[in-house]
Amino acid sequence: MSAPAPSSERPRHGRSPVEKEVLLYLGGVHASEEPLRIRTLLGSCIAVCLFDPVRGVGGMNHFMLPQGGATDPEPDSARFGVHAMDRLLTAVHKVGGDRRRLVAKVFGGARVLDLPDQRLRVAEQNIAFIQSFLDAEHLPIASQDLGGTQPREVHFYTGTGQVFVRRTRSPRIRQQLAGDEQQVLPPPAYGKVVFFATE
Amino acid sequence: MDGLSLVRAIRELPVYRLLPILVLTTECSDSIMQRGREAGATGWMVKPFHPDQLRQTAGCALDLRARALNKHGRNPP
Repeated sequence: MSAPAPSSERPRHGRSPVEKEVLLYLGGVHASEEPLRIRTLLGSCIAVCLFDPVRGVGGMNHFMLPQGGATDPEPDSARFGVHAMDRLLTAVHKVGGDRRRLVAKVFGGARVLDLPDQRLRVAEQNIAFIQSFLDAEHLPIASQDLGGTQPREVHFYTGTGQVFVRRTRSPRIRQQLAGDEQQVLPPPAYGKVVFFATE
Repeated sequence: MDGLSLVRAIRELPVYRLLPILVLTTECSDSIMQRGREAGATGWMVKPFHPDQLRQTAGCALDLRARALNKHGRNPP
């Protein structure tokens, strides 16, 4: 059983026929009771893998910001960490995971754009959020690879809990992720304009 | 000399009676804007602003000046 997610699922040719791969995009949440591989590509975004080692089930999410702004058209979207974590916990529970046994593996938060304004540093906001969230929810972090400046490709095996991370130097991927990050930055608030002359 | 004193000094020169003067500032209280109006500023732009916004506002200020020139000629009251 798996939660709805903007993802594609396909069998991996050349490997065990039971091994499937799910590609997880921004805002996606996926959990599975059958062993499969979940793959995603991260810049400043965060992916959290939750795994129940007794049941051998797990899931992953992929979010871009801790939470949405007041003017966001979809403030409860799984693109935001608070909702992405809530949905991941629910999805893993539905496939048989026991919250008391769950361990977390956390990845991402690379500073793909070098912005001088601290308020716009999405990566730092995301890292601070997820560490605080997992601590508050008493979900132990089994492993993590956070920060830096290089994008990451993450492969999570839901049946074993193993994660493989590959850092990429590809300029094309870096450019693509930088573009994505630019889009999630809050628009600047411009000041008002007043004309006194009425003639 | 602060910005509003400069506006006042420019306005006192007859040749600049209709010169558009935009005040670009971080100040946005009603009282300071009222002082700007009394000093003779044409408009008030609060920072930050986008370059396109500045171009558009300057264009509006020039339109206002052109209308005033059409109405009063080169020697406005």
